[in-house]
Amino acid sequence: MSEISRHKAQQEADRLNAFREQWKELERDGVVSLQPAQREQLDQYIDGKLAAYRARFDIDTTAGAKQLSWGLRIASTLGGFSLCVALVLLFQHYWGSLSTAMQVGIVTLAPLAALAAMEYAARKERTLYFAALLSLVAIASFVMNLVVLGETFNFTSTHNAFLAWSMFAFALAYHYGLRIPLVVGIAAMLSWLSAQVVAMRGFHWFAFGERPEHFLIAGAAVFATPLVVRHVRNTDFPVAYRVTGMVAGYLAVLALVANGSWSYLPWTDDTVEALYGFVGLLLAAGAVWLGIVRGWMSVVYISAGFFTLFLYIRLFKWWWDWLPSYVMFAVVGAIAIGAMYVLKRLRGMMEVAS
Amino acid sequence: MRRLRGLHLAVLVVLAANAMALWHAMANRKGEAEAEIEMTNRELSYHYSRENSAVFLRMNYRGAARIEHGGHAHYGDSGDWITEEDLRRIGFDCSVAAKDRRAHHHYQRQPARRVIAAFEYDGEAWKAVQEAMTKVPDAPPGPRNRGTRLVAVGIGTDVASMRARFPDRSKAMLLPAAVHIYAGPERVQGRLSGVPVLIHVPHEFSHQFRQSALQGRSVDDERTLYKVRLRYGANLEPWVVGVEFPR
Repeated sequence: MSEISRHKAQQEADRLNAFREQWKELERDGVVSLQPAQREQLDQYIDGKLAAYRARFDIDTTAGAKQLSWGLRIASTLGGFSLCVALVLLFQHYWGSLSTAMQVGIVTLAPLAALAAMEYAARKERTLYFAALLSLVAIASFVMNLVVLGETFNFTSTHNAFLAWSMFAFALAYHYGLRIPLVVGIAAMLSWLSAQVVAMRGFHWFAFGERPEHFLIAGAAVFATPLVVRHVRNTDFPVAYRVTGMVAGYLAVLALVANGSWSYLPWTDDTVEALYGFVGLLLAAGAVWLGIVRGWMSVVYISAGFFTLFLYIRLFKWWWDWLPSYVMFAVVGAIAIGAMYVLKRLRGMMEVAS
Repeated sequence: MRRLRGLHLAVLVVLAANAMALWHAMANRKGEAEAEIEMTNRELSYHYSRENSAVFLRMNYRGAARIEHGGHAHYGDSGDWITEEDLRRIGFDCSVAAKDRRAHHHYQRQPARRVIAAFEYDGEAWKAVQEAMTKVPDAPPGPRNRGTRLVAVGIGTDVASMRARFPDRSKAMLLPAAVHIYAGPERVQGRLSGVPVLIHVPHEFSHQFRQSALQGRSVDDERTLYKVRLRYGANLEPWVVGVEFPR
């Protein structure tokens, strides 16, 4: 059990609970039957395992506890964001009355204080809800730290701040096994990479968003990271890598569908936009297939959503000008029904695959 | 110990980033000033914010060439003063003529380039702007002596060559900026952006700004409400070295 992560323990507990429920149903239907002593032995075994997981990882072992945990997760994320805003506004309100030395001291100590609080919370509470909330505060403090230093000393803006924020967020994510800092770290790293390439080519770094192909390539690399880097301890990280990389890639394709002039490709804007429309469709369809084969549910759901979006964009570009609007919406409705049929088939295939 | 490794890394990142930032600030202020210029409320306007207690001055500049809209002086910078030669020199591909049907596509695909921009305070460029204003038919007399006297006068790729072109360190400042390119109706044009216009006023000089009722009347006020002396360092970053409120 020493090798197991909290995420794995939760999965194991879910499986044990599902098994016990299913077994009870089979007994009620008269398919199988256990002697009272055997049933007691089975219950003791499952209860023992669940108690051990609960004691070690503080996981949810009942449906009610799971629902409450979702509430806690949402509250911790919202609370984290609110505290970040409060922190920035509080500092803004008072920093004019502080000397430069005081300002520098406070903004430098703020992320370190948040780190100390996070470590304390993580030691006190194994579910890490408070640590997750404080991780957002720590990241916001560090962002504020560098922004305030830049403003205080009138620095010329630099994209290298993204690199520092990314490294900080990655350190928190891997140290505590938290997914929100991981997503922040990946997003900051993608921004830094794109800005670095733009700056190396002699352009101003703030044009980093005008080259979506950087995000497309880097997003693919992020998506493939779990294939290269094994996550034995943080078993829920591969999903975060896949989802973040995939969403970055899809958003990049969407940007290129909307504005072909942002592409490196030497063709006209219309050609580039049409090409990326098809690339989006192919990528999303391929990802749905890959998700089914590998059992990556999040990949299937998100890709199906983007496939539908790319399809609608293509249809609007093709038909909006020459089809009467009532026919256009009827076609869109018919396609939605077709998509429902296909998704239902996919669902069946996934069940077979699993 | 092993458990703390990630935490150590996070602490190290914070300390390293702060140390680098402070070292950068020190390196900027060390040695001889790159430029030192005193400007007034016309160039450095103060905007009061209820939420933010820090004092920032916004640097206002205008373009060397001026566009008139209905006889009113255009205070901003249209980028008309940036020539095609300037654009070519900073690295843009200007091979397609502005009236060519491929021009829009060709220039839209080139992102903004990093440049060093020169700004001249109350010099020949400002006199030329004033003179141009007198030629506007039916222009009211007011605008000729209103607004900022800081004029964007040149762009280049390196500090040394720009300083050679604009040697007066008490009149001309060099700042990092970006230039966008686009196909204008007559010629290929550039537009300056990304100029670091916000200047933080440190605590020792800021209280007078907060006490004065300066909000909203600094730019167009012909009177000198305050003077601010700015020093620019090796990294072309400014800091306030003196503030004076004439009585």
